[in-house]
This record gives sequence, structure tokens and C-alpha cells, in this order.
Amino acid sequence: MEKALKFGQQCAQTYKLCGFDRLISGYIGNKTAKGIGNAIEFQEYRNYQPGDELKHLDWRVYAKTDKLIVKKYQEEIQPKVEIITDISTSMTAPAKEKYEAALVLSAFLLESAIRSESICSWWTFGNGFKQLMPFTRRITSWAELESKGSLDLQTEYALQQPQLARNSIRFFISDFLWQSDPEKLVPKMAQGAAALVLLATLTQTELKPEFKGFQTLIDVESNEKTEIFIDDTMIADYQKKLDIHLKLWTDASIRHKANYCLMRTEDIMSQNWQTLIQHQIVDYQS
Amino acid sequence: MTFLYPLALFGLAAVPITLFIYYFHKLNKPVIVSTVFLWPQQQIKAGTGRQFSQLIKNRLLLLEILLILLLTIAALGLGLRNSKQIYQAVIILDSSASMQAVDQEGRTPIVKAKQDIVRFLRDKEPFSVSLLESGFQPRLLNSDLRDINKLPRILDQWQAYKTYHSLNPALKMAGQILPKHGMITVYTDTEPEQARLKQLQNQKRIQWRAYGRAADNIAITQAGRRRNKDQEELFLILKNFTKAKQQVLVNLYQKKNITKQWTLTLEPEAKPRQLLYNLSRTDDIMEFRLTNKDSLAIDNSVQLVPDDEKKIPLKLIISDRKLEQKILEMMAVFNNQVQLLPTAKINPFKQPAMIISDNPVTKEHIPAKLRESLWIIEFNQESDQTFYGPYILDKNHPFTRELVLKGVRWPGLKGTKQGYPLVAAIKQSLIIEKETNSNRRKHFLIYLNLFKSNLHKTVNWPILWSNILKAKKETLSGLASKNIHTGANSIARFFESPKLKLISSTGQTSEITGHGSRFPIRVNKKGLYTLVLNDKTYAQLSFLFLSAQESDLRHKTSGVWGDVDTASYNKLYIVDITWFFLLLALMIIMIHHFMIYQWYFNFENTCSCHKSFGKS
Repeated sequence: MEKALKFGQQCAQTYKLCGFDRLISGYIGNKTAKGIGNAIEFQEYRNYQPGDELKHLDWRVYAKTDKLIVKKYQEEIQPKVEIITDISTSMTAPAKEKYEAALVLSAFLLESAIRSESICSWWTFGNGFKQLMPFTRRITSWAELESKGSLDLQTEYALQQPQLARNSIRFFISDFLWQSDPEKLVPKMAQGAAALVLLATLTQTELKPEFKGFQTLIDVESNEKTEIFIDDTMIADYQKKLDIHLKLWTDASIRHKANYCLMRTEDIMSQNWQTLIQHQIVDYQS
Repeated sequence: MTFLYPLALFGLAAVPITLFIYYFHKLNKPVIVSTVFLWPQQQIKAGTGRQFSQLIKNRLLLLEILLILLLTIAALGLGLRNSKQIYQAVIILDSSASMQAVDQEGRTPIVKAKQDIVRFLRDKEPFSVSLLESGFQPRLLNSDLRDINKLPRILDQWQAYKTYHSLNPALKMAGQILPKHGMITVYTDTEPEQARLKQLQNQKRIQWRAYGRAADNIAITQAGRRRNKDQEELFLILKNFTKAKQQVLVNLYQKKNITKQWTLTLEPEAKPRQLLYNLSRTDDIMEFRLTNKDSLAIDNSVQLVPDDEKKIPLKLIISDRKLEQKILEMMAVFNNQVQLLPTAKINPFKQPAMIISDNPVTKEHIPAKLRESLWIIEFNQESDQTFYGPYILDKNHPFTRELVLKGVRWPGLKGTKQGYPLVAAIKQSLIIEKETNSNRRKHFLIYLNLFKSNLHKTVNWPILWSNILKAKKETLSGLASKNIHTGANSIARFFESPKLKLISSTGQTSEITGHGSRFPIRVNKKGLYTLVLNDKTYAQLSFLFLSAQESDLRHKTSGVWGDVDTASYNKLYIVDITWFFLLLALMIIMIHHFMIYQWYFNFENTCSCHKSFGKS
């Protein structure tokens, strides 16, 4: 695990997290977030608009000019980034690489966020929500992180409400191959977040299975065995069903102002971050 | 329940193949996936356990095995017997001696056939069959047999001993007693000629089953023993039925000692070889034994008992010298068949069996007490009319056999005499058989003037005398011969209705029942027998198996011919229910496909489920 995490950190040496404006979608610009931060700095005056808080009116200007002018402040903050990684056993199938890729991606985002002067927190789920790395300190030495548990996110939320930071940028890393309804799950994931990014990591085998003939499929979590005869038609229909599944997550993400990004495990392991760059999640850092 | 095409049982081989394929598949490394909900869910969810127990839980596999079974049964052509019908048949049993020829396993065609008949009829129950033994005079062993348990006892009566192969009379008889829906099954060792088969009336209902075996054989096909005064002549004919030259050793035994030995080289392909041996008169039994690896016990030895030829005591009372001369010339030719008695007077100890006279025979000429039947042949030469034909002959009478009277000048007949005409010209009888008071006595009248006739210059003259003497010889009391062919009827004549018994060399005794004065003597096994007349030994007989036709085994064959078991039989007795199994198989195929592609429906359900999520 440590190897994967260090590999992710190394990959992020030339990248930084970007696109906060887009992620937070119209709140505050680069490195800022609404209402959160340690310092408040005057930015500019502007005319009062209905809905502005009265406490921000500059009563002195009003007394002199009889105009309602609002003092606009910029809260100088350090953005909070929360990475929530699925470490359930389903991430080890069909190959261990998927789990490793999820860890590499987590480390990559953590390092990119740190390099973008953000504060980071790292959570895992699958066997209950657990915070591995709090905002307050940065961990450089990783204990062994076993992949275990078989809970999907909906069950996790039902069992335990995680104490996630408000107004943080949340990255959920998983394969999202659950039968849970995305329409109900995405709002829960986005609850209190400034922005939500769903990073789906799937292997090439999952995207396009290549095994054919009589096969025994074993669900890695439930050990449920399925005898099946797989031919081209069967594979085509599997892919059709997978496409519909992915589209359900994409549609739910768009509807709840989240970003959904599908990444191939193989791309992650070969340091191909083009998908993240295209989605303006990371960018090169000179 | 009957399978019409039993070979289709090989279709069951598909079951282990399918099992192997499934088992082999089970040995594949399973694929571990993060979730299975994207795959069809209708498949077998195999639990834990041993491979085989998992295998038999596989519903698809079970369906496929069921499908194979149903298709195999359909291909077997399962037929149910129509309960309203019972199997009716006439079974013809070949009784020719070649059915006893043993094969390398020591079994004979007759044994194999008996086993097959029991098996065949057990399969056909309920049945009603008649069993008919072949021969010139077929013998009905049983009619309307319905009980399989009685069959072995009836089959024990079937014995193959005849020295000829003749099935046609039995086939004709079977056609007459055959029920409307009956079948004929022939058990033989000879393949029927296809051309002859087509001529048969019931050929579509005849099935031939043969159990013969083409085999080489070297056999004794003829043997005899003749006595002539102080000399005896033995003869033997051997045949080589193999394709190669054969060395054989022939021993002649007298009182169990070898008297003479021959080492012979026999030409191939049934070329006969004759042996002659003369010896001085003896009452010992002479036995020929042939030694060769290809010979069979049934025809490699003969035992010949001394056989005195019976002679007809004959008395001539003829006044015409020319006629007497002509008759004496003929009697000299048939010297070994007749014994001329002195003409002077009747010898009370040697009574004539036949009197030939050219004058009416009076009571003085006839002995007062006849032991045997007397034949009187009268010549009447007072003819006034000459006939040149056409002549009418009673062909059924033994006197007229082989006679051809074309071109014969026959002066005869003066006046009309009552009797049965044997030879006639226009309306005039030339040879007449007269009625006599006694059944044993026969009176023949021959109207013939030798001065005006050319009959005695034609071949008809010796033929006529040969016929007369032969017919008379058959009526003589006692045995015609003591060396008798097996399977042939040997008639012994005894006018006193005696009590006759035949005792075999193994001590088996059989009573002989006569018809009038005729006592048929017939045995099935060759060997020495003793004829006992009124509890006294009358004669020793030897039964010989001599038949070139039956010793020749080169064309014997095994096989089944005919089409009893096909269309005609099925229509009558079997209700074919193949369609039922085909329908079941079709249903299984549909269920099978439904199970394989059920996930399509699941998939559609999943889609509609997702759509409902979208709406919510």
C-alpha cells in the first residue's frame, strides 16, 4: 500500500489541483471558499442588491451619499479537500490493480491538493467510514491498509453518518458498481460539500470482458457463484447494461451539480492523467 | 415395449460426453468479479460441495441430459404393443442334418436357433405360434402355442437328421395354416435365394434367420456292402469339400481291428473318390473311419452290417419256347433279384412269390398256404389285332414307370377281360391288373404275341421286367435293407402284425407301429440298432449318415433376411410413440432456451427499474 501511495505522490510532483471555481461553481475564485477561512480582507464596493446582508452595508457612505453601498470582503481561506476512497474487497476484483489504482489516485489527488496549498483529509469506506488523515496533520508514513469490508456506500451512510467537513471539495474514489439508486446516493455524498467529484475507476476487463465460454463468476464480496455461458452477444449485452449503469451515475451527478469522471485502472497505473486534465481537475504545474 | 432401431442406443454416448464437457468446464479457473448484477442472474447458483454434487445441481446440464435421453428414445423408435393384437406366426424349423454341424465353439446351428426362438418369442409375448419341421413331408410339432414355458419341450422334438434340405413343402404348408395377420419365421442354416424368395406367396411376411457357418469338410458320402455267393464287396465314396488337396487316412475295421488302411490324396472342391474292397464272406460288422482335421463326427465313419439281398422265388410255367427263352434271358439279367424255382412241381418248402405263365394258372399251381403274397403274370399270345399306338399308360402304376411305347408294334388282345388297364391302345387293354379274392394276391394279364411284336426288341422290354421285379421285391416280407440312411423311411413288411422294437446301441428302445403290413423304421442318429420281432432279435441294422448335399458346408451362412420386423409387422402389432418423445424433446429445447436467455427479461426489468429511478 505504501508503495502505491508513494507512487501516487511521485506522480503528482508536476501536477496541482485546479479548477476550484468550476468545482465550487460560482462561489469564490482561486483558493477561496465562501464563509470559510482564517482572514477576512476588504475587496471592493458595489451597489446593494436585494438579498445582501444588511450588516455589510457601509453606513458611512450611506450617510454621506445616500446610496446603499455594500462592502465586499474576500475571505482568505485555505480550500479543504477531502478524498474518500472505497477500500471494500470489491475493489480487488477482477484484479488487485484496481485497488492499487484507487490508492495511487487518492495519493495523487492528496499530493496535488497539498501542492495547491489546500488542506486535505483522507477517508476510507467499505468497512465503515474511517478518517485516515485529518486536516490538521500530514501523514508521510502509511500504515498497511488492507482492503476489507463489503458495504456499499448507501449502507455505509445508513449505518454511520461521516463527519465530513462542510464546504470541502470532496472526491469519492470507487468503482461505483453498486445496485444502489444514484439519484438517492449522490445528494447524500454532496451534502455540505462545496463541490463533489466522483472518480470511477474500472479495469479494462470490466469495461470489456474478454473471457468466453462456460465460466463460473464469483462475486468477490458475497462469494456468490454464477454459472454462465458467455458469448459475443452476452458480452455486448453486458456492456450495454454497464453503459446504462454508468449513464445513471453521470445523469445523477449532473443533476446534483457533481462531476463524474470515469478512469481506467490501466491509465492510472501508467500515469496517464489526461482524463483528470480534460475534466479540469488537475493541471500541470511548471 | 419394443425398440424398432436398437442401434440408436449408441446415442446415449452423448450423456457421458456432455457430463465430461460440464465437468471439464468446472475445472476452469473461476473468474472473480466485483459484482455479478450486470451478468444474467438466471444461471445456476452453485453452492459449495463436491464437484459431482454441484454438477447434478446444474439445471441446464440436467435439461441437456434429459433432452439426450428423449431424443435417443425417439431415435430408438419406441413402440408399444397394441394390446388388442397378439403375435401370430408359423415358425419353420430346418431339419436338414447340416444344422448339426458344430462350429469352433462346439455349438451347432440348431442349438443357437433354439436359444434364439425362446428369446424371440419371449420378446413377442403374448403370442400364438405353430412350429413346423421342414422336410418332404413337413411335421407339425405344435399348433397355437401360447405358453413360453412349454416351448423348450416342443423344441426338443426338433431334430436335424434329414439328408436333404427342403423348405418349400413346409413353406407351402405354413401358407395354408397361417392366420390372417400371421408371420412366417424360418430357422435354417442356408441363405434363401432371392429369386426364389420373390416367387413365394407370402414373401413379405417371411423372415429368414440362419445360423450356419461356412466350413470345410471331408466326408464319406456313400457306402455299401454287397454279397455275392462267397464273396463280399465293400465300397466307399469320399468327398473333399475344401479348396485344397487333402491327405486323408481311411481305416477299415473288422471286429475293432484294422483290416485295411488307405492313405489318400483327395482332389479339392468335392471331387469324389471311390474305394472298393473285396473280402471273403463274413458276418462281422465292417467299419470305415476317415481321419482328417477337417472332418466332422457325423459323416466321417460308417458301419456296415452283412446284408443279404432278398431274391424273388420265381416259377415259370411256360409252354411256348420262344417266350420262355425271352423271359429266361431277362431273368439272367436280373439274376441277383430272382431265384428260379424248378418247374417240375411246387416245392412245399420253397414256395414261389411270383408265377409267370403263358397259360391260365390253376389252383394246382398255387400253394395251399402262402406265407407271402403271390403274383401271377399271365401271357396271352392269341392276338388278332396289331396296335401301333397311341398307347395309354397308367403312369401311377409301378409297372409303367419309364416306359416309352412310341414306335412299338403290339399285337394283342382277344376278347375283353375285366380288370384295371395298365397299358391300353385305343380302347383295348393290353396289360390288365385283375381283381382277386385275396388282398395279398395280384393277377396281371399281358396280351402280347411276341411273334408279331417288336416290344422285346426295344428298351421297353427290360424296363418292364425291371419294374415288375422291383415292385414285387417291395412287397416281400422282412427288411428291404439292413444298411439304412438316417432320415429316410425304411419299410419293413410283416404280414402277421408282429410286435416290433428297435434298440439302439446305447440301450434306448422305441416301439415301431405299423400301418397294415408296413412298418416304417426311421432313426435320427447314425449307428447300430437291433430290430426285435416278438421279443426275439430279428436283425442287426446300421443307420448311416450319407449325404453329399448336407456334408457340404461351404455355402452355409448366418444372417437375417426378410422384412417381418419392418412396416407390415409394425402396422399390425406396434404403436409407434416416437412423436410423443419428440414433442417432449421440443418442450425441453424451449425450456432450455428460455433458461439460457432469461436474462434478456431480467435485463429489460433492470432497464425499466433504472428508468423508474430517473423519474423519481
